[in-house]
Amino acid sequence: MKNLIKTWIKKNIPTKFIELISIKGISITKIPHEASVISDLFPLRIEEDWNTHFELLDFHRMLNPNEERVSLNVELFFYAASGQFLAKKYIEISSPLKQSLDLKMICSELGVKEDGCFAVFHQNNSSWVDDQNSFLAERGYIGYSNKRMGPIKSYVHGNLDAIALSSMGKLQLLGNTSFFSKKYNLQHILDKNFDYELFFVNPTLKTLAIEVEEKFENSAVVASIDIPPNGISSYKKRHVKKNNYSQIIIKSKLYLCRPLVFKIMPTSFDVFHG
Amino acid sequence: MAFFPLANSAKADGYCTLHNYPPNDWEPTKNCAKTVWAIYSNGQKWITKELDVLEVGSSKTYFYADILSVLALNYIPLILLQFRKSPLQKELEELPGHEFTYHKVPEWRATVGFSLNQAQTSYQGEINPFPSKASLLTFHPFIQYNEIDNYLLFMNAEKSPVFRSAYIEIYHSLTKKFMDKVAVKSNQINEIPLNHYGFKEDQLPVFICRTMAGIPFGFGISKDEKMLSLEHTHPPASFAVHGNRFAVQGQIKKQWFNILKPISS
Repeated sequence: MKNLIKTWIKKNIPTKFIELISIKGISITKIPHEASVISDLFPLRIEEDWNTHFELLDFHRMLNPNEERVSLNVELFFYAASGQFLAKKYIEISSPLKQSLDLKMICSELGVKEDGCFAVFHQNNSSWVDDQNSFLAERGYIGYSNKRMGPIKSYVHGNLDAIALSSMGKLQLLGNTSFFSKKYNLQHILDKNFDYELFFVNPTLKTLAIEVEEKFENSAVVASIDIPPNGISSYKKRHVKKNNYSQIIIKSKLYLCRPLVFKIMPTSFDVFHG
Repeated sequence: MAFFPLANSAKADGYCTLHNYPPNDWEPTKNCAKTVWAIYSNGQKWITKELDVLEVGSSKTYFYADILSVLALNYIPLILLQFRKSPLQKELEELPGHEFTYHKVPEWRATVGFSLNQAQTSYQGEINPFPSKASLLTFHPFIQYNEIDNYLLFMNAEKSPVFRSAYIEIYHSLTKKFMDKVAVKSNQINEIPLNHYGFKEDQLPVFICRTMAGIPFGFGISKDEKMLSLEHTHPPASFAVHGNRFAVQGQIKKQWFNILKPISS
């Protein structure tokens, strides 16, 4: 009963109002409409020497290992950095449980030429997941590669239930915002010897204003970034020998404005969630 | 949050950067200087050593090799770093509880990583002691090909300092074919080479451990040793959000545990 009440409150009262009473009630994302499936908004890098790979799994057979393969499609939605919808691709779940998707190749077929973001929606054929009031969620494994830096991909998982697709085909952005600005202190120190690029997506219905403060020992620089809904933008830090190690503080109205971090080293790179 | 892991691998050197600042500005916390302790197991007791003090707002990187040197040891299977205000006894029967209120959105984390030559890889991590009666089911979808050495790293910490043994069973998820079972120990980082199993690009290995839980990682090292890749593999709960997702996880685990049967050797 208690859980039902909690769920009702979460579904029907915006978090920003609940926050006025107690921060314990804060939920960083919304509960989607019934019978929806959820995806992260994954950064897509296909420009210059970058490529993005997605490890697509057969959720149905992983959730129901006793069952045979059923004919199911997965839908990939591609968005420009401006948030504009660009293209959709249906992929049929193959006989193996896993397909490695080369997104540069898929984007080339679709006429998508620029970096942006994408979402991956599975069909939910497992009613027992609905019975637990849960939603299928694609939280990825994305492998980024750069042909200047050898054959290895840097893998990272999704970590935000950013967007939902209902059974009626309606999309819903799930990010919650507050009345008040929130700070997120990146729990990673930027090394003066390397370049970094921090990617932010906007999982809300309004343009998201972000301030990125890079704090050095005795100084700081602040960059302002506006990201349209469904869009993506980045903060670039170039290595400057005179500066020392720096700390990143991100200010926005998102409860958790956590970037995907690309760390570029002399002969390699690393991608991780901040 | 309780501990920050510092581990090593056969080829790459481990490091862990601790941060004495909270991840957000809206959950309550008490900002204060924190003493850093290293804790490791000798198989019978947890051995503790005070390292230094981190001032408010500061970060510090601890290297596995440096801690070994401080402790005058040649090898430690896993070092746990902990922020404390009160001192610890030199030897403990159980891992100590934590003394600070930590943030949850997200968890207060360290930068946990490995370096090799000029390459580094890291994730934002922490570890809480796992209950001794727990199990693991995970799929590894990002084994890499073309001149990459792949490993599964399995990291476990439990309250008891005993090095408890268990087996990780490895299967093809599509055919359910049993491939191998590998002995692992608690309170360690266990490194399992994967290349010799010959998993193909469209094959999805599944790993189960019926008597121990832990954090599994896919770790890749390019054969020219110029680049590393590290990410944890998901627990089954990650397939679902909201509602009773741990019931979903339980159901998935139950089905796979019943289907996957090792061939006794």
